[in-house]
Amino acid sequence: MDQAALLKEKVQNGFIVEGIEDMNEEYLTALKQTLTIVGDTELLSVPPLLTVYDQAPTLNSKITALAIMQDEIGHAHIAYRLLKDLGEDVDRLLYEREAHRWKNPYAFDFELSNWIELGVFNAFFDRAGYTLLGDAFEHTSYGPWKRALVKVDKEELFHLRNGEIIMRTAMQDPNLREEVQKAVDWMFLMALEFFGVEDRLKSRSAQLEYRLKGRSNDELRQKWLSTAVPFCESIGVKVPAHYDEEQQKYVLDVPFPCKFDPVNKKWLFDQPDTWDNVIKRFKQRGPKNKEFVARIQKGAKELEQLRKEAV
Amino acid sequence: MTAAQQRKTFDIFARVKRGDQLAYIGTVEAENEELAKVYASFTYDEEDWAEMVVVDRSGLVWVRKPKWLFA
Repeated sequence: MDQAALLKEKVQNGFIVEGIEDMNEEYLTALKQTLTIVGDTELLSVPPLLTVYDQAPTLNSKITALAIMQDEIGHAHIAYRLLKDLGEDVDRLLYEREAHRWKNPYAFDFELSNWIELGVFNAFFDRAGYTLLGDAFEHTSYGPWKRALVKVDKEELFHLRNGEIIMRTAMQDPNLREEVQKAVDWMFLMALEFFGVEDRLKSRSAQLEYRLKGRSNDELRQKWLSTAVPFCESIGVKVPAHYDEEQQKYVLDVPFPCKFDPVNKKWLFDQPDTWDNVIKRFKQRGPKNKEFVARIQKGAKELEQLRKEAV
Repeated sequence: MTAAQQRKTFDIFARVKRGDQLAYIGTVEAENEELAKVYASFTYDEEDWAEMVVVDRSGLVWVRKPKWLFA
């Protein structure tokens, strides 16, 4: 039996990988790709949150938002530390990588318009993170990641609850209800895009074969819908999805994927799209990609310049 | 020597409350032990730990390692 077949069989039967000496090249590559996406996503969630944190309605809200951002940086730190232990040059990854090569979701390349959007960001996007990383926590074959996710899992739940509180409170204020609906209208499908290409379009998944994760993209999307939709319905927010009794699953009431107008942050439901085009849109990046990555890299670049001048 | 080369890896162990196992909770990189203590406290603040310790990874003496699959 070759290395790939042996490792796949073992991890499907519960074998936990503890070090590089347990991996074949394909496993190592898939793991590094996964951890890069995770680290980039955690870290690049902070710049959009910062765009509105000074609009916090109370000091307590501001402290909570800052605590959440600190958590996200901590989660990014964990993913990058794991990458370093796998031989990656993390300083280069963080401070020398061009903006368009970062792997954070497209949704994080936008500034937020108001405090309500920060709430929906927590309630929807952190829920997506909680769904994806909760699955990894439950199923991943990589021991060091599984252990690190104890902290992450706990904190992401706190983030999404914070988002729910902001949304629920805003829905009780007639002046803010419309803002909640407006935020949900563009952020709902954005959150669904976190889970990636539909299963039927994927020929194989190294992440699943090597059990880096346990559930498929569509299964994870359904899991997100199974908590996000009932929550939105419970507070009176309209979402373009419902549970279909016949199919025993959540179905969307709008074309998905579909084209998006990034300037007006609006889905063009009359223009259904393909996943190939969605991937192209991801790669073209959103409007704040360069600015947000520059913000992450600014301090390190300035410090490096000072060091050079001092020598 | 660059800043990155001056940093060392520290492993972190902590106990949530008296009587618990001292558990491995993560790692930080730092230039020295004092900074490692600060980074560990701020990064791993998910519990109100009763005890927390940072250990320079190069000081860990392994008695046994896993039986590697492909080594």
